[in-house]
Amino acid sequence: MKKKFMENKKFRLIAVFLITVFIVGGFSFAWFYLRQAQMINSAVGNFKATPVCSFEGTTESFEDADGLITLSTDPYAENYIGNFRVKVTYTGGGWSYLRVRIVHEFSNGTESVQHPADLPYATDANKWHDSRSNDYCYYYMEQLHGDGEINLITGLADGGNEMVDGFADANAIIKVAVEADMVQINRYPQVWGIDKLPWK
Amino acid sequence: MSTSKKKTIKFTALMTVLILTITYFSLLTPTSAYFYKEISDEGKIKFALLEVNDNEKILDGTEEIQFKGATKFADFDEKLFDEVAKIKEFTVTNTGEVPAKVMTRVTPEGDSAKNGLKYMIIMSEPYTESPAEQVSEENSENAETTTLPKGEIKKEIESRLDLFTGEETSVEYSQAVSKLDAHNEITNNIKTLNVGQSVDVKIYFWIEYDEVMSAAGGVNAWQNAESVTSIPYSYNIEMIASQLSENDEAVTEALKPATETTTETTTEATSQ
Repeated sequence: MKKKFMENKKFRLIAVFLITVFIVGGFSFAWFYLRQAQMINSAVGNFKATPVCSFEGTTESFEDADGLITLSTDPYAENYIGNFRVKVTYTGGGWSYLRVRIVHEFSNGTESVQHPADLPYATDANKWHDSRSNDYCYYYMEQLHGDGEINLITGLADGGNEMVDGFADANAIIKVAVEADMVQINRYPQVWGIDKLPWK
Repeated sequence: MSTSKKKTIKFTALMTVLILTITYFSLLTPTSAYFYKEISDEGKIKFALLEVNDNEKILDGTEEIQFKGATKFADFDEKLFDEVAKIKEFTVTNTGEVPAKVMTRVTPEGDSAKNGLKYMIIMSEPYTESPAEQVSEENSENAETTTLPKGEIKKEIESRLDLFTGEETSVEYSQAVSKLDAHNEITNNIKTLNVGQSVDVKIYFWIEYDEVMSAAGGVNAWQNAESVTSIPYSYNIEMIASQLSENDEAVTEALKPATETTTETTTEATSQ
């Protein structure tokens, strides 16, 4: 009759021997070696900004096929300049700077000219830096990340109505193009070609 | 030979091996961390333990972070590198009773390295007291300039890797990566700490711009892209402390007697 495993003296001795070796070796090794570790989970993300243009009091966009929005000088028109609103929605995990380029096209019906976009729009001057005289851009003065929405143009500022009246007298037709542009917080020198942020 | 004799021989051999094994581990050479012999008149044998930071955890669990963006370490004109780099810092102190070898290791997991994760391990020289903080002197010649000053992390990386020598402002990316890899080689990040000594560990992490762009599908898929994307990274930071081998200089130094005590006997010559 075969002896059971644990009743066999030889196997018991081998088992005791192996257990002894492992215990002594394990304790000795623990005295010789310490290890600490930490796992880091991280990510880097891109971002996207979208300008949202509208006119207060109407849902019509007044945007033509080439993406230009027609602005009226008539205070009673739905697309009166004073009703023009611009906000920017943004999303993405990356940290970025935002600028919005606003380019106006003035025409008298026969020829079109680009005009320095110095229409006095009402903006939050604590948040937006007006650099249109340099590059047609408003710069948002804070770093952005995640999801959000920012108001840019909320109407006309002081003196705006008088300027618009002047355009009306000249029978000017005004169109505007709005474009949002985001860049990584560390790459604006390379992407925007500027040595420092305009408001600094 | 009879069966019982064979059994006896085998049993004896087994017990002999067992006893020898226990004896070996109990009486290891004096240069091990298990115990060492104090050289003194009394000839003590002392059990000594390896310990760092009073057994407190300095690296533990999992941490979640977000890189603000990607950058380029080998680009001389990448002035805003520091804005998006991350730093992990900790101090390791030998609080045990024997000299210890301390090693720092970073292991990127999965596709992290392929997708642009880069790191640089910097370990200070061992010290007993905290070195005085060095105050950086402002360069008054640059006070009036409008160009962006380079951040401290970027400057340190460039300096330690010797990326740009003399008037050079460019380096082959592959060459820069080779220098970085050589710096991070395990043998460069091992320090020997005598009892009571500390070492400061600093690890810079960043995401390499061109590699993450490649992973994302190009620059146009990154900035002002139609869809938002996120590239994940994970990496393991390890601190390993181990005993020194008998050939390590620190062990030799530790075993030198602090003072050699001898008993002198003098005999006065007496003459009568």
